[in-house]
Amino acid sequence: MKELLEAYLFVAAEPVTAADIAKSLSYHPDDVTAVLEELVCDYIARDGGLQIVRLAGGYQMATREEHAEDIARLLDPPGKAHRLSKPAMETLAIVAYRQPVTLAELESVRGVASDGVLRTLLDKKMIFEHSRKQVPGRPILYATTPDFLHYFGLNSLENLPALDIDIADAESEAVHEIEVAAGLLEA
Amino acid sequence: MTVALPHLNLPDFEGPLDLLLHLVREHKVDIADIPIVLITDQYLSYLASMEERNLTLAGEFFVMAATLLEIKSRMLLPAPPKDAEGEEEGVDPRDEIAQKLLEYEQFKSLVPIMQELELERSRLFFRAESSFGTAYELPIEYGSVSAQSLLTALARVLDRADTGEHQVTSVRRHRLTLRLAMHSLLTRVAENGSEGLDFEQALSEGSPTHLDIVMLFLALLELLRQAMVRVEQEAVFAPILIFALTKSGGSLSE
Repeated sequence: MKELLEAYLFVAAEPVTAADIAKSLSYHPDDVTAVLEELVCDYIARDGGLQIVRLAGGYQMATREEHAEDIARLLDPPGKAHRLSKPAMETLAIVAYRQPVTLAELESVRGVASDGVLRTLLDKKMIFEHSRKQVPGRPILYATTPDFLHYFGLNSLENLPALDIDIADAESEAVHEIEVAAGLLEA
Repeated sequence: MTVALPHLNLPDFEGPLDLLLHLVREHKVDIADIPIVLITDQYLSYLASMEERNLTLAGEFFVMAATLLEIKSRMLLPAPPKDAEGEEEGVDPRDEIAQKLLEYEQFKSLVPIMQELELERSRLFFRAESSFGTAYELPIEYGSVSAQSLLTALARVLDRADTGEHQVTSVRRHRLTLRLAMHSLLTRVAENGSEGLDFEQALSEGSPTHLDIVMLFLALLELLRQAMVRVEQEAVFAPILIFALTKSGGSLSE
């Protein structure tokens, strides 16, 4: 199975999950995970140009950090170099820790109109319309996507840096819900 | 009273909270114990200087100014007489703004951390999308027709339409409604029965105009949606055949 999974990782353009592989090939998910983890170690031991990283809840083959500059130089035109703006980052941070969150809640934290930034984040597929809040007006609730995790090199929302105040605690249940939703999205 | 203006750049401030946070930090004071008079004055002179430079300020900045002024005036008022010592002291009018500032600061402090994560991740490169798969336009499964192949067929017909010469003797308003188109398409499909109606042929009968074709195409999509017909295509580029679907043996007419 190891050779097969290595080959799959090679062709896959997105993180692959043990659950998906297990389902397609009728293996036990734990077995698949074990082999994927083995592959991660193999690649480290081999010390070659590639590594297998745990990203957005799955596994993906990637180049090694040491080669970043040269790979960027070789890729012509270079991959998208532009980064998220500060306001976008700030807004994304609030969505990430408070999700699912409405525009109004977001603006109340930032103290400034945020619809434009939100639009940008939606366009970049960092966030998505998760559901509607069950209050008058049924405002849209936004949550982060698997792309968000991928963009920041996170495996799950639990990898987000901890907040110093206990905001995170109250939200952890909601976070779990989102992860389930994010997993569904990825399928 | 003149207050020295801190050196400020407008673009650096995301909003009133950002500016306020900057002022508070500048004075190295505790957020929970903001010197409201000083901060309010600085905040206002900042707004004034922005106006002098003809910079438009978002409304939120003025809302914050009003809030600060309100807090300031409430702090200047004598405190309500306290009951017994140790009893509730009344809420500090600065509490709400302090709470907001703390909350905002927390998220603001995440920005550099997230930028670091972003930078780290950007040092990884992955296989690019579509180095296989979609690039080849894999053949569609036999018997099923994708929206794309319907569209290709439509494009072929549209290419041929309106090319022949028509002798115009009189100009009449030609009315073709979707309902009409659906009906005529359905009738023709029913006529052809089990042989099926060739989609392209159906669209080229007579000398159809663009409008006729578009209407027939819409009619087909609508009939498909209502599950009154089904379409089949035996192979790629083979004619697309339309068959009538009789719903629970019901008749096709209306």
